[in-house]
Amino acid sequence: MSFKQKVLNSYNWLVDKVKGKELKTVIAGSAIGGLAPVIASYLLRGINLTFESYFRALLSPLGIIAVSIGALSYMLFQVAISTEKISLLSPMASTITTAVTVMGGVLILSESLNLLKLAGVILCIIGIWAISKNHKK
Amino acid sequence: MLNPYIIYPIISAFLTAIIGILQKKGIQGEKFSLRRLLKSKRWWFGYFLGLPIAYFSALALNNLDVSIIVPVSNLSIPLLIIFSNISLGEKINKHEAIGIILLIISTIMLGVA
Repeated sequence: MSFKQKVLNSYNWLVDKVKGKELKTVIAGSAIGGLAPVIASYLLRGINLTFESYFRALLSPLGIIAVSIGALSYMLFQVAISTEKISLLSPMASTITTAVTVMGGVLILSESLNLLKLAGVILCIIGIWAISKNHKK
Repeated sequence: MLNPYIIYPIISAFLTAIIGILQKKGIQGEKFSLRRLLKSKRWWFGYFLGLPIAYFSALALNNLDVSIIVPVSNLSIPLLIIFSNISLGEKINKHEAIGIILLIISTIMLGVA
């Protein structure tokens, strides 16, 4: 089986798994995608940023993981919007990504946690709950 | 006086909303296919329309406070909802609207925190 065929097969498998679970897919995909900036920040923190050092960080194992999960999150979003309302999925995806990045910064990169961040994350969870609880396709 | 650089997050918000609609129109349908996505001119047009946003964001970040940029950039969400209603006929119910409002407030809080 050619590489192209393998990619297409894995993609079709993913599409079948997502069908009917678009909201859950976007929640999971955006949560994973929110970790990409955290990893990138971890990699680029404290280094003298040049074109070369940027690409060296990007091509390191952690850099490849960050790029891959960013791409996976983007593609899951594209699969989900093909059958579900974008007016719902887009706000969900952007807020979850931001919330996970903020919390990742606090928990992994030891950034400061303030009331505004905590309230933002709690509001995000309530918003997602309100949408998923009463969602009608 | 209003900072003239405020125009960049406003343009970015408009572009973000238009990109969402273009990409959705390019791939919407019962069965998603990677081949269809790669062949969709609308989807690619939306993708490339996103490239100037990085430049506009850099210009805005250089000249404006992030506490202004984040709320203005979040205009993209109400714009997307309006555009998707006009262009795709998407409707949202009362509970979904409440959820979206909470998410917009949450993003603004997280952005300026």
